[in-house]
Amino acid sequence: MDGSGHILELKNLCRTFRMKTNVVEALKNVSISVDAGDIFGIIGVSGAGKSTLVRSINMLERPDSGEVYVSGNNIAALPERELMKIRQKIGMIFQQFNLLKSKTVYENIAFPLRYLKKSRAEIGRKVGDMLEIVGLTDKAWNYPSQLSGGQKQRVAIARALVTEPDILLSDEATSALDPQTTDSILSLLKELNTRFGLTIVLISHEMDVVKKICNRVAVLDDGEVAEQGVLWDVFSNPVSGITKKMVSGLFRLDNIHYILDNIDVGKIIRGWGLIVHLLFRGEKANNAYIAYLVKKFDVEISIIYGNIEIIQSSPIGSLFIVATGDRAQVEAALDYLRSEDVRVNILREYSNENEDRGNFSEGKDLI
Amino acid sequence: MNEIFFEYFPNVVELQSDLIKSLKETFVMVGISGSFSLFFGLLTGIVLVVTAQGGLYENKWGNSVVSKVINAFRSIPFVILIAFMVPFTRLVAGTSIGLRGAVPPLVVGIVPFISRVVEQALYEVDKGVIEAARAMGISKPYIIVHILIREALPGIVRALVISFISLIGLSAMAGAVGGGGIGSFAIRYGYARYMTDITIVTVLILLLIVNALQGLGNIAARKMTH
Repeated sequence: MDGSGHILELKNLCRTFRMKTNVVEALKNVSISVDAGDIFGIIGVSGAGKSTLVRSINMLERPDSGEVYVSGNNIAALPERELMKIRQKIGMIFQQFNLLKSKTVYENIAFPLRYLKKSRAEIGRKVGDMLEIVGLTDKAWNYPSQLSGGQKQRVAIARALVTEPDILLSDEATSALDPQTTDSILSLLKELNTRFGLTIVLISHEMDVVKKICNRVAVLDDGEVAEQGVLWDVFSNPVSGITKKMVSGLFRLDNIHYILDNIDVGKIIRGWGLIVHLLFRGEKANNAYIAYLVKKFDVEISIIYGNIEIIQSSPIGSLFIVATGDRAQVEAALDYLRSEDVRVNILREYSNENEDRGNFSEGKDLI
Repeated sequence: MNEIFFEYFPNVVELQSDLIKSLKETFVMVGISGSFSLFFGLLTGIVLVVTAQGGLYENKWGNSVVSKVINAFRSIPFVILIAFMVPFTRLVAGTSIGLRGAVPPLVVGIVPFISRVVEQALYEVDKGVIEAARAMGISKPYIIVHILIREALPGIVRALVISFISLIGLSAMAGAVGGGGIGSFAIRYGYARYMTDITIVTVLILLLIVNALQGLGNIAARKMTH
């Protein structure tokens, strides 16, 4: 018995696939912990080991070594018969929906209950409730082939949750859907999370999906956890290369680097100056910091580029500025911002005193 | 009408009762051997699929043995199989001639074929659906019955129609070596006594049976497909 109070904890999972010609290490010492009520995102490019990882949670793929704690119990060593009981408490949805073609929507949702030999009345009530939650009451007697992709995924969600599991595993569940449908499925998952306290482990290769509903995230790269933590922390202060790459897309860092590399920003800097990336979180995004800085400190600030992202339903303002003036004053201004919980990342330092634009040192570079 | 029929098919009218008796024999032969074949064919078809790589009861060795036995029997021509099986037929049916004697070779002759067509139909079932059921904590036997077979049912029905049509063909051959039935009727009169009208009518009757079977099978399969 361990797991330190987490609803789900994976410890040092390793899994190697031996093919005829090569050996693939799908998981290398992966450790992840998920708390009850989390929407935990596992993000990575295809081939990073996401699918193997999520299948280790319900032991559809047995890891070569490591432990999997579900509500404190290590299930990695359990025989198949007992795993079946554990799996009944972990729902799962898939990219391809995996509905039974020969059965109606109602029959699909009722399927796990039939297996558990529930009474007719109980099945009717529970399936009815689930149909209402996913908004498909009027489609109960349709067959999957008559539904759209989004509706099929709703049926799959209803089927996965009809046995009232504590955890829902989502394996690229929105990857086969268009952006609008993806949004509607994600808001359904979010609703299930807030309404029923459902813990969700969500696998995706799309930054957008993770950004929209996850509160915590693990970045998987080549079978290893590159980074994990609160979504905001990981996104606003990425450490590993792969995370930086993903985040740079989110804040359009590619654009700013294009600007810095192709437009002579040095020209607008007389003397000494810094190119700084500021991230304002939530409420802070509303404050008039720039005007305040200019008034309070003896600095000149020009804005090069900015945008706003919504993460965990709170806005994050991203602003690229050029700050020039007295070095001490600029430092003081930045220190003030840091004290206000604004994330300050110095991208480049310019010094034109000796007409040398290239004389800059890179600060905490985001890329 | 009757006169025209009498004029063109004199032997058919004369041997009417014999023809009907032969037809009944064919139905009995196909019915009995078909029931046995259905059971064994479905069973081996399922065994082939679940023991295959990535199957529910993956078993490389077992799969290879079953597969090789099936191939061995499929490569024996049916007429030779009948002769080859005589001792075995006597053992299980008590006789190697007549209707009873025809059933064991028919079963052994058609089961490998049914196994393969059923295997093909079962392979069509989406692996993802089976994985989803496993993720729900559903037992493997339940998955086989309620998902694998149920989802493949339209395909299985189509496969069985083809199998039964082949079985009718085999039964005619079994008839020729003493099994009775419509095949032996056609050979005895149409071929041996040059009664061409018997041959023609027999062919027409078989054409009708095969078409009816295929039509019914198609309707059934379509009803099961959603």
